[in-house]
Amino acid sequence: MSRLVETLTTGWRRPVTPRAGLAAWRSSRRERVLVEVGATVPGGVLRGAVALLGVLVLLLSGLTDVGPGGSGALRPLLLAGGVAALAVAVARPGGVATGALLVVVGVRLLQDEVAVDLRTCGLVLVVHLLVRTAALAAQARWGTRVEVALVAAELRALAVLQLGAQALTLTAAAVLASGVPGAGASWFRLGAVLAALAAVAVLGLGRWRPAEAGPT
Amino acid sequence: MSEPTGSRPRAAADPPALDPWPRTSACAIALTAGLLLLLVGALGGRPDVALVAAAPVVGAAWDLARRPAGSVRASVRPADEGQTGGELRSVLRVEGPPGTDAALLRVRRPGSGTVEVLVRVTGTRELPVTVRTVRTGPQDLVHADVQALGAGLATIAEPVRTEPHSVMVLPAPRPLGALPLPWRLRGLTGAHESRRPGDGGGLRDVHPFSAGDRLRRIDWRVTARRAPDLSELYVRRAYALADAVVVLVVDSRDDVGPDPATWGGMRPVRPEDATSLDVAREAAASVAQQLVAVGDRVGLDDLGARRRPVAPGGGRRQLARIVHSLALTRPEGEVRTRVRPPQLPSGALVVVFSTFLDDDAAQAAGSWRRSGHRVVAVDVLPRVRDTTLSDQERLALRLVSIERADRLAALTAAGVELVAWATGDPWVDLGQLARQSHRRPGVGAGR
Repeated sequence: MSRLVETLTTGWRRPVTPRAGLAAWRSSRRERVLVEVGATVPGGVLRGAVALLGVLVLLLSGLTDVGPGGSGALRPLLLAGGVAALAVAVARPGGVATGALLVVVGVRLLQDEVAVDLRTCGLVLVVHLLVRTAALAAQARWGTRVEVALVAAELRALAVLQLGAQALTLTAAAVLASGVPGAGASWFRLGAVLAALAAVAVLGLGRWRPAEAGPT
Repeated sequence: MSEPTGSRPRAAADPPALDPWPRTSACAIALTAGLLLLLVGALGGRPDVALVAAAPVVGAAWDLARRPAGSVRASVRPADEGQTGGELRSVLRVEGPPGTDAALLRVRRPGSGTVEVLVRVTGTRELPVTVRTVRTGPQDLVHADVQALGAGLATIAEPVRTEPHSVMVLPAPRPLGALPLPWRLRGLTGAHESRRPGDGGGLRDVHPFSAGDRLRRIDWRVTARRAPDLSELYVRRAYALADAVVVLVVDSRDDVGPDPATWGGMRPVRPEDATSLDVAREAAASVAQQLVAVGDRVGLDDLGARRRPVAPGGGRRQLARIVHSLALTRPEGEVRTRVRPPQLPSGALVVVFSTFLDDDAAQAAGSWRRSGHRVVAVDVLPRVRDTTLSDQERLALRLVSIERADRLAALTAAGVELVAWATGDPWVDLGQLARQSHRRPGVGAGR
């Protein structure tokens, strides 16, 4: 009898059957680690916000305009590029797709005449929101819980910067409207180039590493 | 989210990196694109293009200027001492240098799930962490990988891993009703009536006064009725009180789960499944708590390990000693067969907690029963889950179950009383046994 039992119990060492594996997966979800934090949102919500803001950027920049333009063949290409960059940015917010989307928007703006108006104010806000949201989403996977307090703190910091950015935008709009030499003046160009070179120096001083450097 | 190769969490002894807070790629890419637009706008006389890029560039520069300097520390500690079964509570502490804005936490426990949370951390933050568990005894606490982020999430620190910690989870006793008593109570004080004459118990008889009787025991009403001339004094005699001595014997040789496929030891028991040893700890702790509450004396012995037993005693400290000893019971080394069962105090009630998957525990119980002890066998095998077994495994389980049922039937035939803890209602079963022994004080039933 004991030999029969021993022979039969060797079957217990067989690999897990698919049905058992499914049951094991289900039950493994029952025992959870609970971290007590404030209100949270899943990382997927941030990625959805990146998608929404990207669509707004495409709309405000005129990429979705299908009217006749000077560069008839370029506009559909820009739209396709913008949509592709947006899709990749939603999947990998910390990658180059977000920067590529900004470049596409800039090229689209170059196609039109110089204009600083309400659309520009909206673009300044939405582009800034998109960049900050993508930076936050880059640190969270789809299932990562992101504390609402952190999102609120980032929005507060963004609001402070936006005050200055919108003031600058309105100033530029007023300068353009008054006819004072602004956009084409060499002093404006010189100042902007110097500011850009200074920012490049700041970027060039240190190294950077991928935002996906999560814990191993 | 992909992870870079060759990057590992820094332990406490590693030297700090040269640049412990490098920029994130999101920050660098936004800066690059923004500066490109800024340059294009400046060179091309396009203020609209430059304005769109101004805010992200200025924001990134401001965040980089506030880059933190210093190392991040993270640790896990138990939330409180004496954790009981049900929940493992711990506290995760994250300390970041000034300028830290957030931290990405990956909290996990062996066998449990992993949780990722991105939280706001400015300075020091403590986060309570709870893991629901049905297991008892030494258990591992959670451990966490922490990666801090600087202002605006523009910079990121090296990941830090917390040191492992373990904690002793004590079994949580269940409330029980009345428990059976041994056939022979001991002593002259306690919580139960005995058959010995003494003080404290119920009325035994009314007897003429004799040498040794106390004057305050004189029953004047009976004396006045039977001897009005006080030629004879009558006293009320009572039964003495006694206490019970109970020895809990835990069979720690087995630690099997509800899935028979894990009984061979090739596959681990799932962490959300209570094993037979967890059930035995809970059952023994529950019985000990009830016995101590009524003032009886309780001891503990282990069939599996050769260690000094906990001598019978009473009080809360004895209960704490027994519960702690129960948490320490575990299978140790190879199974050794005892030549004879452990010696127990005479007249003690023996409660054996075992799965009875082999003959050793049943033989010991039978031996104690033949020695005159009242023996209660508590079956602690969890409810078996056979839905995932193959036909071959199910047949083997059936054979083992038949053997076990025969073994338990033989125990019952030998006079050992049987209670199923996980598959029955122990409150009802123990209450029935208690009513049998409480029918006549100090006299057991079915002897």
